[in-house]
Amino acid sequence: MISLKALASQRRTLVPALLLAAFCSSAVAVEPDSLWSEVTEAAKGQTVYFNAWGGSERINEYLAWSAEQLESRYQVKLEHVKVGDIADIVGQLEAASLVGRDEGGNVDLMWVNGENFAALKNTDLLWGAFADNLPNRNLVQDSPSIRADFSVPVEGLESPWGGAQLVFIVDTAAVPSSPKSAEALLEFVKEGGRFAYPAPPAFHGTTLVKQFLLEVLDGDEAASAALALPVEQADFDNITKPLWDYLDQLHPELRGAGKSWPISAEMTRQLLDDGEVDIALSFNPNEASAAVQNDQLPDSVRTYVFDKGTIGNTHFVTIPWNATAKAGAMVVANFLLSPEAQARKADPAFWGEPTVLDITAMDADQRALFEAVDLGVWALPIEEGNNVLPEPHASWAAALEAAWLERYGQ
Amino acid sequence: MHPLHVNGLTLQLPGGQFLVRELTFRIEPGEVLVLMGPSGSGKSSILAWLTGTADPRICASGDVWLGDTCITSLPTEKRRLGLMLQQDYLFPHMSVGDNLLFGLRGGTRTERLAKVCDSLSNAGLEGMQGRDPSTLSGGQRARVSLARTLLSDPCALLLDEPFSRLDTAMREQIRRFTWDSAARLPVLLVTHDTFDAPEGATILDIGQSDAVGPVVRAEMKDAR
Amino acid sequence: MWRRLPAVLLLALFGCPIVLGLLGTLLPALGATPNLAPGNGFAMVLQDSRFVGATLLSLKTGLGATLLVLLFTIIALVSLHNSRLWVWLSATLPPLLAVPHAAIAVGLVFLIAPSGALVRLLSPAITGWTRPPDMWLIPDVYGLSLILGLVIKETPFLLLTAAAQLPQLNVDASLKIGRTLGYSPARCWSRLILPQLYPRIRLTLLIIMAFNLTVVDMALLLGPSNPPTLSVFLMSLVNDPGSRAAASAGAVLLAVLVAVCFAVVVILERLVSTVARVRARSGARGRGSSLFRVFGKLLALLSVSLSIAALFVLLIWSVTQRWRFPDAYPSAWAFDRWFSGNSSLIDPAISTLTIASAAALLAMVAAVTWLELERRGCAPKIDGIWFIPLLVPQVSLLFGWQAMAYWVGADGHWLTVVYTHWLYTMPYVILILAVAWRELDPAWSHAAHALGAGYWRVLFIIRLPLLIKPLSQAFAIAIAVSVAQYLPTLLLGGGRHQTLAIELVTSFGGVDRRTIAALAVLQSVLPLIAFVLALLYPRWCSARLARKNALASRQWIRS
Repeated sequence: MISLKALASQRRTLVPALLLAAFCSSAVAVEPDSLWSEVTEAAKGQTVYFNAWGGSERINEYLAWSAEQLESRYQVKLEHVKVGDIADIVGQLEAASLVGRDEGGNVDLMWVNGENFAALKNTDLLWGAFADNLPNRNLVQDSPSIRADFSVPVEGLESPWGGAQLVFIVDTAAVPSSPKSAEALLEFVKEGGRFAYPAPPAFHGTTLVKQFLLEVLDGDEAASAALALPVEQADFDNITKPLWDYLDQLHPELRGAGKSWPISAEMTRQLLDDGEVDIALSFNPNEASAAVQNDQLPDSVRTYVFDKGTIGNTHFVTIPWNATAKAGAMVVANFLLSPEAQARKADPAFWGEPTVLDITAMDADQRALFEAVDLGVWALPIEEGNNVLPEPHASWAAALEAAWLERYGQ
Repeated sequence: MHPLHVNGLTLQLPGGQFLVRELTFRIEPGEVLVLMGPSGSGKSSILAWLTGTADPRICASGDVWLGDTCITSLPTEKRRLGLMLQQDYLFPHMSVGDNLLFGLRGGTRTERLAKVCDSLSNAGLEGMQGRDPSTLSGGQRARVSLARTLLSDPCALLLDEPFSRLDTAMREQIRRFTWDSAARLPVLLVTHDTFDAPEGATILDIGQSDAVGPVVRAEMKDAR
Repeated sequence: MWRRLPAVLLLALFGCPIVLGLLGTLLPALGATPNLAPGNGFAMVLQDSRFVGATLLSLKTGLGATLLVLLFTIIALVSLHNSRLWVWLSATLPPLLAVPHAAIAVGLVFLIAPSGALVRLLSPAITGWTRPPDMWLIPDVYGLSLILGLVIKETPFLLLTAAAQLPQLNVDASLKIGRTLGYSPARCWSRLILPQLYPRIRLTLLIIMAFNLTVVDMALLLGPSNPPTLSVFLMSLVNDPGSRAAASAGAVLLAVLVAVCFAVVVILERLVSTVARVRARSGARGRGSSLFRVFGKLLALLSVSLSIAALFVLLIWSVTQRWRFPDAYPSAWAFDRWFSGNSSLIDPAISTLTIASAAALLAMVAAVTWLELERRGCAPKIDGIWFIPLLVPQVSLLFGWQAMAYWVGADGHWLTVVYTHWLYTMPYVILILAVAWRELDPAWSHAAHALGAGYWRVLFIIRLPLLIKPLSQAFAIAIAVSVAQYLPTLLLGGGRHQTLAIELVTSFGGVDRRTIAALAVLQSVLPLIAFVLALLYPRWCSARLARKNALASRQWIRS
């Protein structure tokens, strides 16, 4: 089996030409750098299984809209495979690779970033540098979090889809002045404020723990620098000690007393609406606007970030090495980057997530699409949106999660 | 032992029809009263009322005494009326001996076992305490069933056609066994077969006066 | 030899996933498949700090729920016997039984959470709360909400099984005899009826116990998350190749745990029956209490009302636009969710229905084939075999079956999913049909054969139409079983078959209570529709026959 795997990777790198020759009659075998016209031609009639987190109905609806557009414009059928945790899919791909399933895979396109991307890249389960070949690639912003995903170079292996920043949604009717630092948050819960965060390894929970780590390390130059490097090179126990001290104080004061945790950030938003908590988490600066307009949050909510900024990142879509409909997947990835799709995504009426495109690089018509979007008073004010802290290196996530579970997971 | 005395029993169906009206009788210890009548005349309802298991929809008045004690409002399990039905209803999950032990009241362990052995030999079933009831013949089962009832030390015995399911040869034998065993108790026998009644029994015929609705005509007759 | 071939093939088809599945779990656990699951699984899982906590939680919730189910069944049986409430309950319980676990679980959360419908109804008028209380949490950390969910879902199952057995036990006569021997009704039940009843419900009780100890979907929705129950914990490991060996080893241990629990039950059974026999021999009469009966009735009413209320809350949320705490009812309604051709509801419903219909149909054909073979002496009478899938933990079987599917590249295929669902629909179908099949008077077929009809003609013209009622019932139950399946679709579907069960559990962590409620309502309604159809179809058949006969006789008279 190990030799099969070697054979498979060899086939990926050395014999594309042979494969092309073998399959030329069917004309479906595209490569990451195939001519775009060939790609769109091969994509016609393909069904693309897009494995993406399915916990938000608005995102699901957005993808349903995308599916309609793709079907009518490119004759590509988009099937949204709703996933609870994309890490499960990474595991399934690894398992498929171990048993030698090098083609006809179940996943054509998947929504990833951070440690999941790092895992796929490390185990060589990604198809290739398809992202640089997408026509809409030219419109993408040039930013550090798009060039490197949690400090891991992207190298065209995944295509950016949306921007994200950890934000807090607060009900101003219950909380007149929002706690704008880790320290203030601790004070807030000690004085009877209601707060809870999803237990790691839930994505938002891990990110908040990272945020706390950055806050408690504030001013410690050496420690802050260590976060940008793989965790193996750092004195983990020493660096994270202030974090655990902080959490030890915080947890008894949380809703659930540190024994019961919300499943997800979305659940904290539901809890905010119910009044079970005063502050919810989100990775989307505009989520509150979307939720208020959709009758899911009261009018009195506002979005804010900590005074010293919060962690921000970019999320991507990528194609596994054994995808069945690679051409279709490329067409989908390109469509998701189109100004039209990105503008709709940025609109809180539909999804409301910051775009990854560079609006200044667009022509007037394209720019008009974005200028028409009304973010509403509930969203994060634009000026606070610049207050972004970089993610620690991707390897820190797993280490922090393991240490967190070790301490609080029983 | 005390006499069983029923005073002014009236049973009325939910529709207002009378099943039994103002029935009074008295059975001395050692005496057998035979209750006869066509099916539907209320024989079984009288027995059910006596044991306190009548259908709650039937409206009843009157009372029943054991000697000086009125047992009308006592729950079934406190009335101490032994009941035998058409079927023997030996409990299938218990051995013959366990069935008898279940019926027997009081006593130490050794006393209880001795009593059960005695009653088995009285019934001509020596050494059968370990048997599964389903391996017994109909006559044997009937005897075990009666023995079980008597071991519970009843103050009176109510028999609801207990011989009807036995074949003719067996019937006579079980009848004799029954009358011998119950010689000291007041006994009420419900049957439609006059031959079931022992010598000297009183027969009470509750017939039906036709179209007007079933009205009980209680009439004491001498035994044949 | 040839005569037995079809039976052997059918049995092989059924046994294949079981044997291969268990093997596929055992081998990676032993480290025999280093390419798929490297490492020593047992060492890995035993070293995991969450394993002990998860196992204890599973034991606590699984055994606790099973004990309560048994206890409540007995109390309900005793207090409801010959009561008018039972007449009503026996009509209400079968449809409730058809409602999937996940839907009830979600409804329960929406009902009893601190911000749930109950508190909303009472606040602030009675409780004085303007914000949800923080006195309790759903799911709670002790597993109580999981136990509650399991108890209200499984008690009707055991109660109906038990009630179906009572007519064969001469309950009324035993009570009469026992009471005239001087025993209270409660004593009569415990010494005369329950000892006879228990052996007849033992298999159902063991199935319920295996389910309670190993359930995944309900534990995800109602159970604690940190640590979760053992099966949920194993689910979090299985998708990571680095921990697949650990997950497999854990699944093997879970199967062993269930087997040990079975053994404990058998030992306890012996003990209890010995003690009961000794006490029955003692002749002690004791006194009874009628409070018991009132308590039992209250309990039964409460549990059924909880289920119905949970479903009702789901229904309300599914047509809600806005419902803030502490309003007693929604301030804005949205009925269009049901009528706008919402693809997020229709697609999973279609996926669920196609899989369920295929699995149900497969089970019907297989069961009829088997029972016909059995009737003609070409197959042995081995009812127990069909229940194996219900006694083996789903994770223990399906982890391995999924690994096997990976190896041959069959995962994600629709047929694989249907095949796996069949495994779980078959026991119920054969359970219902076997009784009907064996009770059907062979004289019907004999008469038809005597008139010259061949085997197939008799089967299709005489036997199947005569058995139309149990056949439709079995079909409806198979649909209900398949609609409720979560794990088989999740593990074998490769993400390509988004059934309602999967959508419901996946989206539960998400925000929109309204959509979740709509999914749960839809998942509950599909089996109910199947039940109603199963009730109506036989009537429609006989009505059609009557019409046809009337027509024929008229024509005959005219000519």
